[in-house]
Amino acid sequence: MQRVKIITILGSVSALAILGMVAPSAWAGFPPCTNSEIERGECFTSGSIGGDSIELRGSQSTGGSGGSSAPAPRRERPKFISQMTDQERAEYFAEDKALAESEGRVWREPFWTAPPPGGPTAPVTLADIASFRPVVGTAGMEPNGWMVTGLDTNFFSAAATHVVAGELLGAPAAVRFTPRSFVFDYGDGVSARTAVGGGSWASLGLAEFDPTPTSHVYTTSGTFTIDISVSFGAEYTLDGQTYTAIAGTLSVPAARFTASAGDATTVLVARDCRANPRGPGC
Amino acid sequence: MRVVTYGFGMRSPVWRVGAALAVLIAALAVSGCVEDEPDPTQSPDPSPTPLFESDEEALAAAEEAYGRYQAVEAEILADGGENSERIDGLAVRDALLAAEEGFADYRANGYRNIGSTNFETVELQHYSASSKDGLDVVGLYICLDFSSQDVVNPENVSVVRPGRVVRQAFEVSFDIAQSGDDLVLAAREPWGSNDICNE
Repeated sequence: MQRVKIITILGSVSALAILGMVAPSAWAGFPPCTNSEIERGECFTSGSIGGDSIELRGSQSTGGSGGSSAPAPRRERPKFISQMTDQERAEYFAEDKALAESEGRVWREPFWTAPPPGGPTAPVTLADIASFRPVVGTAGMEPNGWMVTGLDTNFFSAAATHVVAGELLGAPAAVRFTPRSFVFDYGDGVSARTAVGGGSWASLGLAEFDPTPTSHVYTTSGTFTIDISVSFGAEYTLDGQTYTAIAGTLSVPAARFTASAGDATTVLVARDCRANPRGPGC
Repeated sequence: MRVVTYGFGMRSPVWRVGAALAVLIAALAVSGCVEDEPDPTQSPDPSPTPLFESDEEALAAAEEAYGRYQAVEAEILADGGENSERIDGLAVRDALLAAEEGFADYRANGYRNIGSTNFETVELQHYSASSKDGLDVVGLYICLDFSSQDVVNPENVSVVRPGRVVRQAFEVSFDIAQSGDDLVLAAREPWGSNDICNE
């Protein structure tokens, strides 16, 4: 039976450090993917370029799934042979050889295959497409700039699926953004997340003050700040035809309105149809 | 202890001398019976032969070690991460830490696996027959196949990322196990190229 030195993780780190093998690398600091991430498809490299230079690697929680989305704690880790540069690997094997010879053991040339060629064949992360900016489109509110307490005020966003062209990992690429959800923060402590962006009363074929999927009823008077944001899902393509989904969603502010809410008497007296043809009841 | 004596009293000087002689003789006799043992601090000679005679042998042993790991991992994931100590002895270092973290994630979120993840297309990446420390002795490229597997939450809703890669390439690395005659999984990382999974 072969005698084997069992070394703990700390032991191996210090042993490697003594040999000068722990050099900063593109991999340093990456926590290993957990099996939970692997099984859920949240562990991937986003592509590697060349032999051992650039490695974009990530694991990511999908937005909106609830639960913990905190990044995994980063751990120091010993370097593995495949993560070494060619020079580091040669030095590492040379140490093996020297030790084997000093102990009178048979030295055998290690087997090492060059890594298979890399390429951006795996999904990329949202960080990789940071240069691609989604277009949020216009957003609106009706009535414009004011609301009647007790009646529906209509808010909407025109964000829609669109494609943005750019460069990804040095190659021409395109990213398709699709609105996954719309968040309406009505400013009175109430917010709503909807699957649709809504539309104007006219475009929806509704009368003024009709409820819409994105409308809101203010119950108190006052001035409110309303924020509308859009969560986009993203897919990328390198050939212009096949799109690959990217994990997570990208939340983008779409509009901010500041508007006053008053009761019906106040707003009806304050406005008349000649001065404000779009006022309530005109 | 109560000693019954005849002839000589316990405090008799004659008895004392006799007892002392008897002890001395006995001590000499015992020491004479003990043979020289080897110095326990001296190491046995290092083994002159590598653990595996060929690359093929190393590949087969690593494939088997990974299979053992994944079979038990699948059981634990199907059980929602419960009784995760079953993985002890099948993974070390990075692989063990990552496994335990993942099992804890399953328990915390109520995830469980339905179906199983398969692995295939194993290719030898490296084998250091004369490894100086028994670490990272064998490396493989493997292909994980998720086509017959799903992860669900307590509401039985899939929590798998939409559009995940069905066949994904990983590199796995093995240390020499504590027993000294086998391999144990030490790391599993996604591999940048999926080429080996598309063959």
